Amino acid sequence: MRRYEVLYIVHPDLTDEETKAVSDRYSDLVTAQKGTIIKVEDWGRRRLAYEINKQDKGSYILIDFYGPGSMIKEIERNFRIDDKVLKYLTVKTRDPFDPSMLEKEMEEKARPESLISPEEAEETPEKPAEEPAAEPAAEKEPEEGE
Amino acid sequence: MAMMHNKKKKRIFPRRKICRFCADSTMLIDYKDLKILKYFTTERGKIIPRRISGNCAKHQRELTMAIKQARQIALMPYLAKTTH
Repeated sequence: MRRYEVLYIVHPDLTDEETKAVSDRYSDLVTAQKGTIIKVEDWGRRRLAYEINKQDKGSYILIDFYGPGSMIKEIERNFRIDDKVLKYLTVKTRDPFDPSMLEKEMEEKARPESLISPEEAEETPEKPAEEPAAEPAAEKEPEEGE
Repeated sequence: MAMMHNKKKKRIFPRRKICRFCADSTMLIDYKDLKILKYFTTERGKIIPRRISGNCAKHQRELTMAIKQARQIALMPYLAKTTH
């Protein structure tokens, strides 16, 4: 078993219902290929960083699932055929994956949120440290030249 | 000439920068987290080198990978147009 994440972009001209139909189709495909879906996220319509097939927007859909590695080939084949999907990206998030790990993860997810806020506040004063760093590097160069 | 050379031997060591990802374990590298990825790229969309950002090799490698993945799926630009 391996855990994967597939992020794909659906054509922006489709209506919300049609996009949902596409999303359902791929969710069903994952299930049909003996995969188990952990979650499906719909990010909605977003601006693309660059044009794909003359489109500068697209609906992003993310599927998080686990299953046997052989299923990816079939899923990607379908993405390639489907012209409603502009682009897709499959990422292997855990290998090997044990479904029992999922429960542990859910527990952990509930906890760290309280940890995040104080440490984020600490990070801000660090930012200016980047600029003085560039100077010593520049000073060093003429030294080495001689 | 030799004297001058000796004088210049006094090396200024740049302050050892710390790797942000090592210092803060809650900060995870993920191709979907644009806030973090954008912080480590220039306006033009180039990846900021390790010597500037201070990242450790391991995290820089992971970060580079995440940025490249984000580029593939059009979350980040390969080259960004800057407005002059």
